[in-house]
Amino acid sequence: MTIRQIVLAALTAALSAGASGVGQGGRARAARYDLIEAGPHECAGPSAGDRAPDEWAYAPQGAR
Amino acid sequence: MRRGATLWPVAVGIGWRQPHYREVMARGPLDLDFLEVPTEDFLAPGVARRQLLLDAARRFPISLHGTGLGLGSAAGVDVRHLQRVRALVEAVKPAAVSEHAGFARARHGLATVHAHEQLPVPFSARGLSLLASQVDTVQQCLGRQILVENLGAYLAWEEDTIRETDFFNALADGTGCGLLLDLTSLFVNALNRGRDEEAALRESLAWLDGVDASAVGQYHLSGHSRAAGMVVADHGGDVGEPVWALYRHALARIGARPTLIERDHALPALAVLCEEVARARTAQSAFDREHIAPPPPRPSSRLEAARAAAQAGDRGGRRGAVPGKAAAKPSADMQTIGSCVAGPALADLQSGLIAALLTPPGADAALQTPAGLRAPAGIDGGVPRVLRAYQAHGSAQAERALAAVYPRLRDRVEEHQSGSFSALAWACWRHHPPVDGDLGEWGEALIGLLAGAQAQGLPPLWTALARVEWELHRVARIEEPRQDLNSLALLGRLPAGSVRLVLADHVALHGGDTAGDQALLELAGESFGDGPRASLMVWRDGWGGRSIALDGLTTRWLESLRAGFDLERALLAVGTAFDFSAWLSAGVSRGWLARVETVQTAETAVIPWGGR
Repeated sequence: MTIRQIVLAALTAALSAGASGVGQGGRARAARYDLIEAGPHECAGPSAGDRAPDEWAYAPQGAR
Repeated sequence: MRRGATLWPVAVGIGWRQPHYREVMARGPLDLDFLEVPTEDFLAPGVARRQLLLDAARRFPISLHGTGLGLGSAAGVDVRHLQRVRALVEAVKPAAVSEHAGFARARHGLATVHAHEQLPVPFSARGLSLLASQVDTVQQCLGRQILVENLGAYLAWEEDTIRETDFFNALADGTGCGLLLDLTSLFVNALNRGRDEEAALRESLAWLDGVDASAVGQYHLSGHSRAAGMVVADHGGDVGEPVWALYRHALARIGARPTLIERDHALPALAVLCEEVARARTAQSAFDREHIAPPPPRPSSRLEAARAAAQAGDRGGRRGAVPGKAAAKPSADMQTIGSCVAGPALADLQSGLIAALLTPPGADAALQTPAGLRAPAGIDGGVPRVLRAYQAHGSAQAERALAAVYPRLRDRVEEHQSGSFSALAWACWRHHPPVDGDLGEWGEALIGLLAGAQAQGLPPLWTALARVEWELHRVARIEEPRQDLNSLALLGRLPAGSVRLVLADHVALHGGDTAGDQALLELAGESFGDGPRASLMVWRDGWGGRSIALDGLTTRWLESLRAGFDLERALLAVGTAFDFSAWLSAGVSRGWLARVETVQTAETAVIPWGGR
């Protein structure tokens, strides 16, 4: 096949198979509202806890 | 269509949080007059939540309740943040917009950081001047009145010389803003001052008697709890009986105002919240029509004064300007607003408190606290106890924010050592504090933190995974990309050497050179191309980010497109083994392809991989 033939065949395939699916997958998911994640913000002030975690340092397996 | 609707004084709504998204949208008519949401959760233009909010705004009046402006910050209000809030307000057309009477931003080292706490502004002349100036600016930018909420304050300043109610009355009078009365905070503050419940209720009732009724625009009712040494308004339970008593008093003394049942933690079934809504309505029904009437006009407000001035043809001057569309807006080159209002000493005090909150584990945060800061008398443990509470809250916010961005990384970290992700998140927060009022913008620094720990043996896979998860998070927040599918016609009209395929800006390729990248490729759940996996592509798919492993040929193909090759040259570079037909169909339907353009009219700039 020539490059021209390859391009035209690809274009035909894309137009026939792709057009109906453009952008639909994600939007369909968005309609399922319970899958939308919670945002990180809250109005509440400090929590009942009174201790933040200790300093973080990577410890290889077996070194803990 | 409920967008732009105003709220009746007897309106009662709930804080609308994620566990109730589906139920509120799926059920038939609910007995709710409005929904309140945290403004900052919806600022990113591309998040699915934003579309959800726009959908909800067609059915319910919306109240946007902000936590990110830091109105009392001597470092100023972040102009970019304010502009994002304005864009949301213009899109949603909420019934109410509110914020807190606290500070959150301050200089820390060379940067201005955001504490993501509502920290107290001094009840002093300079505190009032600072807050009023920035409330004024926000109202002008938004073109509308905002409501300013009193704080649950766990710290106080020695320069608190103005009675709190006088402070808020003056704020409302001076700016034309409304007041959002958090009744729970009134009661909690009195308890933390050392009062027993009866005395705390009396003090809170007196507080309500002292506030200008005509300025009050909304009530918040929420739960509180007792922690070790202090009481916190944690919004984690039912509204307490003392708060209901305050509400009844407010109805009698001030009148009915839109009322919010506020819950942020331990969310119960929606029906439980609706029961509290019904209880608020029952409390309202005990009063006659006089109490449910809208508040009287406020002739002494800045709003009124400005209207009078406008009618007289005098539109000059910022002080007293009408908060409206025509009002002055912040210039694009301004980084902050209002920093000139407060003296440097107030900025230093605020910086000192934020520095104390970022104190490393094991260090004495109290040593960092600025002079003039004290804890209310009833808090057992004083300032150090309060700082620990704020730090615990900060670490919880850090963990929640990063867990949302890096879910797979979190699983690996926790699998390696249970409980260590919270320590990692807290370390990231302290070493690289948020600078934006939108927490969704924070967290990229975790990648560098992990890369730095590779010398101690941290698996390179963790860093590679973090890099990809951040990219997935980033593309999920960008504005909806547009595809020009009409331009596909160029493929039929012109020879391949005269056109080029332009990839969408949100498409990013992560190379497979390092050991971590190689391991990451093996984890990919989807691939394109029949050869061994060579790279990982991330793109925005619908409302979220998505990734796919590519073989070497497809990787070379994408690199050719990104380098700006015309179609003929790009096809010759990959040879006949490359399935162009399959790629073009996928590129169109999955949004990888932005458009086709002619080589003559195309820009010649070459965008390297990883560029945004």
